[in-house]
Amino acid sequence: MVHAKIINDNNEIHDILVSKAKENTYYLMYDDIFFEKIKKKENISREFYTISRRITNSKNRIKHISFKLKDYYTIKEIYELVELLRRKTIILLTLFDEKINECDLLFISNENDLEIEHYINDFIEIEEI
Amino acid sequence: MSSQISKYKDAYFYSHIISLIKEYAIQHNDRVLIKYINSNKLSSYEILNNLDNEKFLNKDKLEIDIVSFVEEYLVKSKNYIDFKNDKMFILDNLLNNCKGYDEKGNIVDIKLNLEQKEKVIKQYNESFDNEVKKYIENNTDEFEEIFIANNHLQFEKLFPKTYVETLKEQAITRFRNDSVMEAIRYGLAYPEELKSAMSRKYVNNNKFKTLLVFNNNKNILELTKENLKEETKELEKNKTKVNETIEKQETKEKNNTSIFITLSGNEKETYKGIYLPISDENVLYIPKQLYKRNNERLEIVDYNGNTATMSEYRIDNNEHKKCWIAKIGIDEFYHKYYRLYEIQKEKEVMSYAGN
Repeated sequence: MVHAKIINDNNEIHDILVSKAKENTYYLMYDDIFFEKIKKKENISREFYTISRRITNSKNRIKHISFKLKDYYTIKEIYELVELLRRKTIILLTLFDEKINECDLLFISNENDLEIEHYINDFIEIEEI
Repeated sequence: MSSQISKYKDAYFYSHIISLIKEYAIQHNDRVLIKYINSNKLSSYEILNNLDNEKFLNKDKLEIDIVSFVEEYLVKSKNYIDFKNDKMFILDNLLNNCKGYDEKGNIVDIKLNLEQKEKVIKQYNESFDNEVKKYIENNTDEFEEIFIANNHLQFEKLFPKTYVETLKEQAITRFRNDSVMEAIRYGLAYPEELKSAMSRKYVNNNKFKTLLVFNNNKNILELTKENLKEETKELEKNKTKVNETIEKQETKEKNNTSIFITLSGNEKETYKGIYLPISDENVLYIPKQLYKRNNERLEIVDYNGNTATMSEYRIDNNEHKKCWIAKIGIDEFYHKYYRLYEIQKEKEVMSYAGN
């Protein structure tokens, strides 16, 4: 099942980054083409806020989607999913924790939100969380 | 004894005791006591009346035990305690180092009158809890100036672009709604590694400074043109600064090295920079601050002082993963990779790929 939630304030983003962007989690920032592993003591918040501030405007709403994968998925497969979703919206940040097979997306909410959730449900076998 | 001599003796004695107390204050690094003595709050009458006590005299009765006098009487006296609690004196450096925007949006020095200073102190007392106030008063090197912001837009402009966004937004909301004094901590905008290279505006005594911002949203200070201190000099200063900057830029530009790269078409550009393939397993990443792109030609400009750096990454193209290897300077890049790309150094043609 996909957990989706509109972000209401920056504190929620801060909480997501603190709890999800941890050491050894892979992240893909905005339109980058490579995932990178978060190093010890590395904080990607500043990079995220810098990009987010430049990309979004006051009318944009950011949405957070979190889902757990049933089987082992490679970074490549996650990347392919993100590539697909990029056609529907702007993905600001993708986080993928290989150890627990959990993926988090922060993206700009638009009229395609439901379609995005369907994509995720259809293309990846989701484990209930 | 004539009354004239007696007056002279009293004055001499008073001056001697004051110098002993100052010496004590300096040795103990007691800023408040130094200020108290310098403000002439301790009268000759008070000294003569209270020092004439056996417990402040040494055994031979010829020496004054100034330590006992200070610790057992002076710092416990009502006058001193009142003074200590009077922030006007404690924060006088801050109050005399105010800045704000003029009508044209220039930053100017502001001279506050007594009534305005009292309003600043009132807001200061109401905005911070005792722990914070104690910290501010004991770390005057970190809090060297106060900025008067007349609205939230002026306040917002004071934040460095790299400030932690959530904290900035919280501060702006408080500024708009709660009419409280705010603090902009430069340590929240810049990494520790940059500290040694940063100017006095941001760093003092190897500490990131904090800018206190008075909330004049409701124009409670009622500033007038008379508050703007030596505006013309400030402008002249600015002009000089502008000239200096232009000169510096010219010097910088003379020292710049540009490298032109003809792209192969296999590069991938993102919002933040460009990946140049070096081998099947390695790429070079150049941040946007370091290059200008003109169709299939890239100009890498090594601005002196630019904090952005190029990096080498090991990549897994199939998995879309990258792993940082090392930073690389422009000269190192040129010498290491000039055979891979059609690279040309500014003015002087150094080499071409494929030769």
